[in-house]
Amino acid sequence: MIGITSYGAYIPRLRLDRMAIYQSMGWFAPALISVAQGERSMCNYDEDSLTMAVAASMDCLIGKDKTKIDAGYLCSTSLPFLDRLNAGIMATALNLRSDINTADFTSSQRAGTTGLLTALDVVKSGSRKSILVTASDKRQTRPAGFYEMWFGDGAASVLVGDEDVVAEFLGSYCVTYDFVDHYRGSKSEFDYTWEERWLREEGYAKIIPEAVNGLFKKLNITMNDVQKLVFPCLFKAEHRAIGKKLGATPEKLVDTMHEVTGETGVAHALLMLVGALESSKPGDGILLVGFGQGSDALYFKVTENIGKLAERAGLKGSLANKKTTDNYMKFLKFRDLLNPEMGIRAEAPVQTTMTALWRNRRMILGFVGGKCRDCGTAQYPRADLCVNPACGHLGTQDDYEFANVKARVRSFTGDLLAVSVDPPAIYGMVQFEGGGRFMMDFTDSELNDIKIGMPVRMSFRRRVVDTVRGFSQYFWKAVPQTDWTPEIDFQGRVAIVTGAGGGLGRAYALELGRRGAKVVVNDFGGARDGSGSGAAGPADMVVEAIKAMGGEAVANYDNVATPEGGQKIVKTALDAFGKVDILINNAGILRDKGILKMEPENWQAVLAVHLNGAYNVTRPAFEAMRNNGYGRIIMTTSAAGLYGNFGQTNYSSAKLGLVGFMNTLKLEGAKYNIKVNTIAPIAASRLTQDMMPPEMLERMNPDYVAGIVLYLCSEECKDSGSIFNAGAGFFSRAAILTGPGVMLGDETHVPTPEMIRDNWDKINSLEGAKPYSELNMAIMDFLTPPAAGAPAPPSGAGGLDVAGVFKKMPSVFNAAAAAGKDVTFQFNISGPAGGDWFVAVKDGTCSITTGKGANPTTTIGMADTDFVDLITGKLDGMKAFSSGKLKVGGDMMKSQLIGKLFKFNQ
Amino acid sequence: MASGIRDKVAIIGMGCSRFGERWDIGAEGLMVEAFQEAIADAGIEKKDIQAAWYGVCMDEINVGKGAPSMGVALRLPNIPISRMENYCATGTEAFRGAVYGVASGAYDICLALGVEKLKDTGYGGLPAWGSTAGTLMWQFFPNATAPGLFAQLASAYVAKYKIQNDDIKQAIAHVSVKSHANGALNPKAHLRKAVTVDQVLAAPIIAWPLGLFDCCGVSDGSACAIVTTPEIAQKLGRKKKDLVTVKAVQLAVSNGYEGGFNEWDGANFVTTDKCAAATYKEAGITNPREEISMFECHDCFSITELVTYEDLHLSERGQAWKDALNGMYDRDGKIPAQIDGGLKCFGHPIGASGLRMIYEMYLQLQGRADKRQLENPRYGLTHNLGGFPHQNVCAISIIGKYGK
Repeated sequence: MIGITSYGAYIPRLRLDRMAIYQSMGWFAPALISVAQGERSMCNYDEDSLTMAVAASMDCLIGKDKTKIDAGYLCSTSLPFLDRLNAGIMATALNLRSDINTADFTSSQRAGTTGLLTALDVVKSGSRKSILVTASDKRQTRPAGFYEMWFGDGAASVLVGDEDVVAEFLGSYCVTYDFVDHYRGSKSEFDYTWEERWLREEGYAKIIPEAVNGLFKKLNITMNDVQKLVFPCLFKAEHRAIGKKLGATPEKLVDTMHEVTGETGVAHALLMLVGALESSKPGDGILLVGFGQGSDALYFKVTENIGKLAERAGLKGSLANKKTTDNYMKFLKFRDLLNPEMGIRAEAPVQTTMTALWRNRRMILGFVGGKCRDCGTAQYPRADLCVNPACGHLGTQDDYEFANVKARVRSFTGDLLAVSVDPPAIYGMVQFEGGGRFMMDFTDSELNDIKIGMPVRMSFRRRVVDTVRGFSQYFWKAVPQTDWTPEIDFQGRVAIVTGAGGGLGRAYALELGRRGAKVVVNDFGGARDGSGSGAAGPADMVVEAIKAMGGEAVANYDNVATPEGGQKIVKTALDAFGKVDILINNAGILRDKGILKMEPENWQAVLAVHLNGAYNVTRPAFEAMRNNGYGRIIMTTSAAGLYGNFGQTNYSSAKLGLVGFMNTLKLEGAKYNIKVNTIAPIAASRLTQDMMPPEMLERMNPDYVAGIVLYLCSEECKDSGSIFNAGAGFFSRAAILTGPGVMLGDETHVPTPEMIRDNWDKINSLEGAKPYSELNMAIMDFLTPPAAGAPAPPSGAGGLDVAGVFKKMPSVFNAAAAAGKDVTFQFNISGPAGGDWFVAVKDGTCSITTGKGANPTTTIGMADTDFVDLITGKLDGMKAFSSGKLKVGGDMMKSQLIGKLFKFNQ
Repeated sequence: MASGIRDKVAIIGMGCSRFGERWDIGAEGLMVEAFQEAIADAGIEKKDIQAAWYGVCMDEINVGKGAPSMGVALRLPNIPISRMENYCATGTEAFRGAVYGVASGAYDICLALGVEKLKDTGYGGLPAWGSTAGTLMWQFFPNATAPGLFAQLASAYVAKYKIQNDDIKQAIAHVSVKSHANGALNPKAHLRKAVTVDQVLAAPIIAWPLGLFDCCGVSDGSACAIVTTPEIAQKLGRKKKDLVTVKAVQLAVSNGYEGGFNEWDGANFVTTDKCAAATYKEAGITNPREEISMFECHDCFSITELVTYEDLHLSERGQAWKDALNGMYDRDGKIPAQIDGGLKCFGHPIGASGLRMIYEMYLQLQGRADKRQLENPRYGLTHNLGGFPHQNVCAISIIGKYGK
């Protein structure tokens, strides 16, 4: 079986809002408004058809053994070199074998399907087994023409072979005609285009069906054997019409992506094919058609292997990774269609030395460095002598590819002095996972989004265009993954965790250590009820585990229940690490008894460890934190204390005592940046254990609590004085809430029991209850309660809904603006609050009816919430239109009257 | 066993041109200006100079290659002249050549002169090198400028020591304000206006987070030293107690470790740290924080100066920003830095800078620094850093009173 064995796609991150073209050039070409919807993809300044081809190929080769590739075809009409094998540059950038066949397929919009067909025929012939076919285009267009609106930039890549075929190739049919709807002379930058009607009626509508029907006849199949019909077509209506003519139902027609990318030239047929493959299932028949001076039709059948491909960005991922711009000037400059002042600095010589490039082609184009056989150090560039100062061995390096290695930002800047097409020039030191680092340019990012530690991936880019010598020079850049949020780290922090030998404390200590904190692991080593003492084992094991992860930790075996023990624990931190930043009061014991069996010793022992213990450690730790102006303290409470639990009067009292401790400590710590919070870990009781599903029980482990505790211990936590329940993935805040209350009696009338009884509902009510952060605020509030019987504030401030808008319309009708107007508007509002309304304006009057009216001048389609936003001025009409939120049918220009006829914002 | 050069060489004459945008004068005129002052100061004749070292970096836009441009400009009597170029350490390299010429016993009296004419490019900042920066390096080096490469010290420093961007901006603003205050007192400085912290913070960004006032000026200038042995200096009539001698001159050059190995955190200069240790050893200094009276470090950018405080072992690691804010390096602080105004106010004519720094230390040690004069300085240190934080040349020298 032969066919497609893998696929990949690349759409540049930038998308130009088509309305931006109209907004800049509508004065010159008003007709542009008719095509100014949606977005087109647009290359960054450092991208061209070659860089996009490399990106799509890399996507295609994920999970594939590229040493098996024995040919590489590059299909495009916009390659950087007329005479320098572009596919050869691509193969070098991808670091493919050198004993392979490579070729450029060009000179027709059909080159993509022709390249693919050729590869399939070659593999079929048996002379080669695996061929990479990549199609890419970045076509230049003159400003303010329809084609600038319709075209996009992009690339697609397919691997053809006879192993692990995901779509079997079953046959092809081609026709060739010198049909010229447009052409680009060898000396010209832009297409010369005949009228659209010609392309539509004599081109698409006749030639595509001829190829398709030819293939059907040849393979003896019909449209019933096709589940996905793939063919690019600039015109939406024509695309549908051809599909219909060929007998394809609408769902078989693969979308042309006109609204999201525009047509990406030679790449487009293959890009749509990738889209079809992504959504296909085994057994689907795919008919692929390329058009341009004739047509290629190819038929594939999707196999079971389609589900086995490694994860990749593909078309879906590439489409989703986008940044929309409405900066049309940028589009022009990036495509060298605008020639602003670049300054004398830009005149620095940019000649590329061919001999040096040849010697270092793998290094420069392939991003291949070295890895030392003796010490394992990965390095870039590869050098004769190893860069590791402890090694320095000669001639020990093997080739090591960096292009697919993950890396992170080590340092960076945005440079406004450097000459750049898109200032500031952003660059920085990048550290590769597994070793190697490099100072390199960044791209596809904005300075404000970049952070130290942010992951980057490598992208092959055009570094410099030497206009004097007509040479494009390429190298790799780092693309920051700006959707990343920094990990919370504890580098440089010193933490004390009491009771850290096991359970929750152990989980906290390990995670703090893993994230860079220096940890004092305290554990008294006693039994669950607090008996026994001083066993080193549990604390030592946790210390060893932290050290094994490369962290720093020391053990402490003192008892929190005595003031001396607390002092010693804090001293351990100060002696070993010089300060205390974090204290987690976690140590605890249990002695459960009913109240009558609760002997004083059981009561005292539990209070001594939980409540006194927290005091004993916190006091000296607080002093150390105050001296540094930084601290994070965690108290551990429990649902037993917050809500009550049978047999735990001692434990419940101690636990709620800690809440009181926190409430005041948070006030005393505030000015020293010491934050105090309380965690209530959720534990399964015997009762809940029986009722809980097993998968939930599995999640009742300390790791599910550590996350919130670490967050509360981090610099990022700005809260203080709060209590949080946490366990099994559930998190909530618990608080002491106070109802609004009521003031009874006056200077001469002391409130009587009867008054209490008669106002019980008000006194007892928690409706509108709130927490207080300190005593004074609470008392102030109590003594000035709301006046009895005061009306409740209206809910929702003047909230208009869709129906309300139409109800209000006659009252905001501007009759003066309607003089001489005769228009009707049909509003079709979708969503739960939506509906249809028909508005007629004639001779200075207006009438509004629900439902649909006959022959509206203009039709407005919108979602309910967007519509309300638009009417209330929260959403700009132009933006709504250009982003697709507002759909206007019929006479588009008349829609602009609506704002003048109805004045909602006055 | 090498014994170093402590007190083996005395400086008997120095000169320094006025620095600035010298539209009126070329490299030749700048050389003459510095040389005439130095030879008058030395009280010798041109024929007494036996060999010369000539520092100039950007010969392409300046004097061209080779040494004849200096021989011709100063009409030197066919003596050996070696042209030095080693990035921003060029001036100190010329000085080192002349010092070694004397210390080796090869010559009695040597001349070191550095010059740079930068303001012939037609634009601000250092000249862009483009593909003249090596046939290979050009093909992969980022589209970077000096401010952008040095600015990264700030992002790395902030990340390493977990301080706020605002803290570092305040600290480096203080660094610049301090240098401007010093430069305002120096008639030879290019920029002679005091600035405020608010002005510095409000300045436009050049390379984030460095603003305009975080960057040194670009100017033309020349400086020059005449050196001999302490014995000859005394024969020439110098009093022993007034002699200014060389205590140490050291260099450290990167080997690719910072930019290519996995350890360096980007928040300091590996070379400066090592070079400082070697220099203190050669000079016999064991406690630099107490022994160094004043210094001129390579403040091409305020952040460079800040991290250099630590690499010179004057501030503790992670503390330089606090020390700067606390005024430790102000004119009235514990260890005044950039007492002449620094690169900040002199600009950085590359070949001249190292010698210009030594010139100020020389004046201070002789009590000739006018309004800038410090009380009783003992050792003066100068420091140059050429290249980029991740790959560079560091040069440090220390001069002081003879035998002290």
